[in-house]
Amino acid sequence: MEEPKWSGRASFVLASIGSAIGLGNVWRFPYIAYKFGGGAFLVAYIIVLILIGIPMLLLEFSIGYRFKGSAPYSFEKLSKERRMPVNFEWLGWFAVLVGFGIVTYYSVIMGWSFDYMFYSIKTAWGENTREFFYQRVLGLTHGVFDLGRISWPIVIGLLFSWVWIVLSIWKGAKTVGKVVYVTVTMPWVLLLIFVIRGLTLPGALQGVNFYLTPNWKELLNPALWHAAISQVFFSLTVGFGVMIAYASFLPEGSDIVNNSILIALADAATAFVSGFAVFSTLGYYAQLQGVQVSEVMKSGPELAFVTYPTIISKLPLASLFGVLFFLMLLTLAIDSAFSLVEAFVAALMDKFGIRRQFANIGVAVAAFVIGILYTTGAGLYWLDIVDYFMNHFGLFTVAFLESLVIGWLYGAQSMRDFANSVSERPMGTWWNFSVKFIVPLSSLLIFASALRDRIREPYGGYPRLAEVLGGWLILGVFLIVSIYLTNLKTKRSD
Amino acid sequence: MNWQGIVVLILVSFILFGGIIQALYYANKKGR
Repeated sequence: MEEPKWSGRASFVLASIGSAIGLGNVWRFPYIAYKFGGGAFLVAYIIVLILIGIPMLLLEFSIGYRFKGSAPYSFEKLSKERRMPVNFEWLGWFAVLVGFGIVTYYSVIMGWSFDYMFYSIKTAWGENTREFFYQRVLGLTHGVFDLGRISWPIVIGLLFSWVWIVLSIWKGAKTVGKVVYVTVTMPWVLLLIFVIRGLTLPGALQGVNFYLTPNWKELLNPALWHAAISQVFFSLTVGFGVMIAYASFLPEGSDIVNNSILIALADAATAFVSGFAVFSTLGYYAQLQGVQVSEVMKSGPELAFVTYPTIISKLPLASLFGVLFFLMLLTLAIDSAFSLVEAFVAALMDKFGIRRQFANIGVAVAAFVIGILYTTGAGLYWLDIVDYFMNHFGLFTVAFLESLVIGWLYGAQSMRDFANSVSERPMGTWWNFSVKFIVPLSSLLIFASALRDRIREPYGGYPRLAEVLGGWLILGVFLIVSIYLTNLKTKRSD
Repeated sequence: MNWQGIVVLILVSFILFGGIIQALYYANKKGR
């Protein structure tokens, strides 16, 4: 069964950018930048992006383009070609399973955004946005084992998200390539609207000052580099087999070096520009409240669903800006969500030779059912735990091993020769060094420091049992399933 | 805004958007 290819270069580039750009660009990057020395962090971020981000992206594009298949398929071919002692197909499965783990809750956040688009029409959150989000919408309980009730509006939002995801990847690259023209450009336009709106508010510059003013001393702080490395990895959607699958749909004669540079820079530029939207608005809010910008600075769901609605209520045309803001979140998230599903679907198709539509719906139904857990009163707690474990331990395990396998077992030079042979713009020898040393060492560093933190105390003050169930157990199951699938002989794999 | 912030703004914008424009130029020149 021949897989459909991208219809053109723009489809592939936009789809990859869409996958990389997500909620993190808007609600995490500006906050981290502010926390670690403002302008100094931006400089560090660009250095890490060039030394680690671009090489990692090119690494995954090379694997997918070279072996023309999903992550497990490509790793299997790669292991056989070099007669490696271990069949690394399992690593591909582990990567796509971690991606699947992420999309189970990512789609729930999309569900919240979907609901908030409707709440925006009448600014239903009222004066107390915090109470509205945590109590009315989430029905948050007091503990992680107190599930409370299922929030039906979120279930409906979740269902909507999944219908949208399934339709977006219905015919693989063929549909994705068309959908991304809208779902990637739309958040850019909306973001620009929010940058202009933000910068024209009183007090905006006060906020932007917080964002850009560099504290150069922070460059000596190891925590800054730790944060920059994590943010680069989180942002580029590497380590989930997505970029491997996307590159496998590239037609002959595609340039992968130039594309990886373009995609990495576009992702960083989006995060950089988001900072202006976020900080100008927070500057305005701080002035309104008569407090410092640092006091209103928040990240994650708190920023998007508590702080932003409060500010939106105070703007003229509040309903319009509310709808546009949550539409922006939705369109930012959708491309990342369906890329993670696509990576898994492509892997299942390669292994079992099943029909695409069958795999699509199967994955969607499974993720939807799991997602219902996050719509309960304890959903936010579980979402937080699973998010932490998938990103810190899942992602960095894959990044570490992927760079080792290619850098040392397959041969960085040999992979670079391949990448350069198909690209007009050559990648320098420094790429070998990055893949062999910088990427594995930095991934190991993040992994080890997260592990040390978890040995000291459970994540986020949750009970150990919750951490084991929502973190270690899931990763353990993913690992066992990966090994099982690798050893499973199917008609396709023979 | 202080001058250091402006320097960062110009520097970061130059690298990111300059890089993007260069990559787009390359892509269009070679048509792939």
